[in-house]
Order: sequence, then structure tokens, then C-alpha cells
Amino acid sequence: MEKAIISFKNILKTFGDQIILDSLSFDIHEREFVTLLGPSGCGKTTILRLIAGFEQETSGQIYIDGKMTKDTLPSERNVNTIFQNYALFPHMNVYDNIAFSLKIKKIPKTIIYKKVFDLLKLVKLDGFEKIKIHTLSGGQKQRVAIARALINEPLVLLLDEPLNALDYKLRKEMQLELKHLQKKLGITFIFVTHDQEEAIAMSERIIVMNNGKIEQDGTPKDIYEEPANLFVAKFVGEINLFGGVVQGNQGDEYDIKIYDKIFRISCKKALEYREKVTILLRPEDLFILQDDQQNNVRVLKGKVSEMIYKGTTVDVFVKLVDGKTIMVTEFFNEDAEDIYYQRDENVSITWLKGWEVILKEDENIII
Amino acid sequence: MKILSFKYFSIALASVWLIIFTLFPNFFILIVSFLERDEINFIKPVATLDNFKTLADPIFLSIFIKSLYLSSVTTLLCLILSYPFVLITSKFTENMKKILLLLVIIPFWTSSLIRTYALITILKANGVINSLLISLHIIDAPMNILYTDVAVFIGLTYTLLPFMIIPLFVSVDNIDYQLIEAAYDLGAGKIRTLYSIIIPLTLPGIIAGCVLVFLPSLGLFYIPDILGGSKSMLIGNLIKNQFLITMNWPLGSSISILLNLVLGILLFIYYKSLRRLNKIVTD
Repeated sequence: MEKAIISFKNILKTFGDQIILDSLSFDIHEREFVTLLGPSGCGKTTILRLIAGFEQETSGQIYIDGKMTKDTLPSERNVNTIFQNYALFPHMNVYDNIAFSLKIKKIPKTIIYKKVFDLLKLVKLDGFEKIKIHTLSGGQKQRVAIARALINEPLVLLLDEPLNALDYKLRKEMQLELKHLQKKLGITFIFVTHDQEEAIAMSERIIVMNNGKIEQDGTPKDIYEEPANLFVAKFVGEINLFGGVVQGNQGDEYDIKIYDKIFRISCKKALEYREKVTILLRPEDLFILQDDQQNNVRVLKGKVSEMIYKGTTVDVFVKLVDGKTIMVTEFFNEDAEDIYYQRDENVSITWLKGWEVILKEDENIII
Repeated sequence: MKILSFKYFSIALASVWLIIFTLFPNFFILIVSFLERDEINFIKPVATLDNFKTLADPIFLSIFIKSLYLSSVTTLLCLILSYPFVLITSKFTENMKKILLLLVIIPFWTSSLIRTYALITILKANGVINSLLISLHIIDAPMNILYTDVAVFIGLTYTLLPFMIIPLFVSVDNIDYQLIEAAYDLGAGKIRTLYSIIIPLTLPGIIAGCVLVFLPSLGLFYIPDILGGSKSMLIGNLIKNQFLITMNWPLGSSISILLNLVLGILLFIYYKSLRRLNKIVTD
């Protein structure tokens, strides 16, 4: 593992009597692309602001590159921020915006000139140096903001929901570009977003936050496939929940009763006899069996209530016997070029053994 | 339909008001400025350019220059005093801001003439300031403030300060705070941020405030009259004297026309520069 470039040690942050960050500890390493993911108000932006120095921690210590940051002004920290609305200086042109921090340092003009032009090339804005900020498009402003933040060669780049203002297509493009840029420059990126899809697509590591606490810290694959608790499962993608009761076991293999059917499920966690558990299944992990295969035991029965065509997939909503609706995502492929179910058609739902996630009762709590 | 007729009614009312009480009088002044003086009837209906020729006299020129000097210094004083106040005020909570701005406006509830007379008791030889400084042993003998230019500056600045504070406050309060944080983030200190970011972004407010202080200060004749003795003669005083003391209406009119012309040019520059700045700043 690379060395830690940002370290949070027991950080507590309060505004009045409201706790924003609750004794948070984590390390972010060199060259990492980390995303802080969570709903608004979870404290993710506050983390960025603490690193940048715009806010002061109530207690605990923050280290940047091994040095404690207490009482270090934002202007003295070797980190730079890309703000949500870019915060470009409207009274300066593109060149002056990018050159701003070098001019403060009184660096010779010829060096500034070269650096600005190199960066303009990097962000694909060659020839834009004289352009006024208010005539730029959203995507171009975004690029200027990136260039301006990178000119100091910061240790860490902080990105505060920078793609929010862009339309869908541009957003996808910029996601990819930022990812490539990070690889190319080898700078640590800390990216804040509430968009789980964006987080999964861009980062090497995701820290899922809620109410000032870390819910899960792992790779996008871990977060999606092995959510640590119900909050993470629900926040990251669509999920179906089934209540089950443990009926018995043979080693790691547990017999769990879901509705009136017994399913044999392997689980690494130790479960007690008669323990209530929640079984999580992503819509794409479930599949629908036609009526004639219903004699299979490992199935849940229900009626189709709605179908939503999504282009490459179809979301099928199935009402189970107890009235609960679950979502199944089916893919078009050579076996299923045409997926169609009648409304109220009787269907059976199943999944491959091992694709489920089991949460114990205490992991279900959402604060 | 009713709303539409109300709209036309209110526009018509305002227009008629302005035509009767602003356009006509100004038009008369324009005409009078080209007429000859008469001892008994004030004006003689004989066309002449003499009034404007008189204005080229060095005495009038020196009054004009003195007047511009007093107004410019007043404007500068207002700006220097208001800017820090506004910067600090903008940091308070919304409720506190309202209270602070209210405190700025409250003196307006008293006639400025009365407030100017009140200044005499503060500034005079045995007034509040001198008594205080003597009792604190900071000075031995009372300072001569009243009936000097300093007293005029104090009076004009005090009276016109709110006209500077309000537009400045609006523009400082409207700055996107992220821009200031961005400047800090990029390594700028507080002073650098002030002159590279905050001042350029509030330029429309600065210009508006300067115009709102400079223009009225040219015409506020009673403050130099009361606080400056007869020593400080402003354009406003000159006009007043021509009409009320020397009874030379045509000359008074021609000075008024000249003042209007100067104000018009300044307003035009203000309008042009504001449009250009707003385009940049409010994007």
C-alpha cells in the first residue's frame, strides 16, 4: 500500500449542538481515487472543507502528508479544490484564472506562461486563454476549474460534486476524462458525490457515509456486491429485501425459511437457530421462471404487476403472495430477444445460490 | 382589463407629476438662462449669452473647482469609511444584517437640516469633541473645527454615508462566497483576496455609491452654509445666492444648467460603465 497522504484521527465536527462528523478515522493514500458517497447532509462535503481548511475540526487531528494541519490556513495547504459551481473568477479571462495562484507566488512570467499553456493543452482548451469566463459553456468552465486547481501541482485534488451542473452525456464524458487525468498525473483525488452510479464508475475506493459516520469503506465491487448493512445496500443501487428465519444448518450451509419455502444458503456469518435475517438480492440477480417450471422448490411465486422497458433491460415488478412488490431486471440476449409478460401472469422467481447477501438483525438498523 | 387600465393610470399620474414639477421648471430655467436680468421683474425677455460668458470668470471657475474638490474628498471619505463597515456587516447573520442596516438608515428619520445644526454643538470650540479631548488631557486648547473645510467634510460625509453604504452592501453581500474560498484555496492571503477578487467584483457597487454621494454633495448648499461659515462656497450655495440674495435669476439659471450638464455626463458614464461591469460580474 502507498503511504497515507491524508489521515483523519478521531475527527469530531459540530455546528452548535448538531454533530456533523462523529469521531471519524480513516487514511487516504497516495495516488488513490477515493469517492465519498452519501446522501446530502451526511458530512461528505464537510470532510473536503476540513481538508481544504475552510472549516476547523471541533476535536481530533487531520494530517496532510504527515503534518498536522491545525492552524494551517487554506492558502498554506498543498491541496486544491474544484468547487461545485467551479467558482471561476468572473472578472478574469481563462488565462488569468489559471495563472492566479502562480502570480501570487511571484513566479517569472515566462514560466507561468508555459505552465498555463501546458495545462490548457492537458484539459483540451488550447486557444481559449483570452476568452471571458461568462462566454464559456458548462463543460469548458469545468475544464478551466480543473486546470486552475492543478497548476500548483497539489498533493491532493478535492472535487466537490463537480459534475452536478452538466448534462447527462457531458457528465459521462467528464467522468472518464477525470479518471484518465488522475491516472496520468498520479495525484490523489478525493471526489464527493451523492450519485452512486458515478461513484462506482469512477473510483478505486468508495467511502459510504451517513449521518457523519462511515457505513462502509471498500472497492466499488465490495460496496455493490457485499454491502455491509441495509443502508449501503439501499443507497447503492436497487435492492430487494426478503425476511427469513434460520431453520437449521450443516456447517456454513443454513436452511432459511423465506415465506413458506426453505432455501439452502451458505453464510460465513454465524447464525443462530430461529434467528431472523434479511436476504438481499439485486434485481439483476433474480430471474423469472415461466409457469411450467413451477414445480421447482427454490422459487417464490407471484404475479406480474408492471413492466418497464429500459432499452437494454426490462424491469419487471412482481407482486408476491403477501402483497410485497419486488423488482426483477431481465436482459435481452440471444436466449431472450423478446421479453414479455402479461399483466397478472403467474410467475416464479429464483436466483442462483450464492448470489444473495445475508444481513443479521443488528446490521439492518438504519439510523 | 382593469389591471391594464390601472397600469396606464399610474404611469400617467407619475408622468404628469414629473412633467409639471420637473420638466416644466427645468425648461423655464433653460429659457431664463438665455434672458437678461431685470431689477424689478427679475427677468427681461431679451435673448443673450452673457450669463454663460460670466461663468467663464475665474471667480466662478474657482468656486466650481472648490466645489468639485469638496465633493470628491467627501466621496472618497464615504468610500473609505463604508467599505470596511460593509465587509464586516456582510459576515453577520441575516437578521443581524437587517438590524445593522436599519441603524444606518434610522438617522434619516430626522431632518438632515436639524442633524446638521446638531453637529455644531459637537464641533464648536466648547462642544462635545473639544470638551472630551481636553478632559482626557489629549489636547490643551480647543481645536478649531467649526467653520473650516474639515467641518464641511464631516457634515457632508455624515449626511451622505448611507448613500454609499447601501449600494456597497448590496454588491458585497451578493459576492458568491465560494469565489473568496477559491482565492484562499489558490494561495491568496486576505489582502490579496481583497484587491484581486472582492474589490473588482464590487466595482458596480463602488461606482453606484460614488455617484450617489458625489452628485448630491455638489448641490447640498446648507451644509457648507451652516458648518463652513461663508468660507466654503459650493455650486449649490452659488445658485441659491443668485436666486435669493443677489436676485440674479438668469445667472442662477445658467449655473443650474451647467450643473445639470455635469450631472448628466456623470450619470451617462455611470450608466455605461455599470452595464459593461454587470455583464461581467453577474454571470
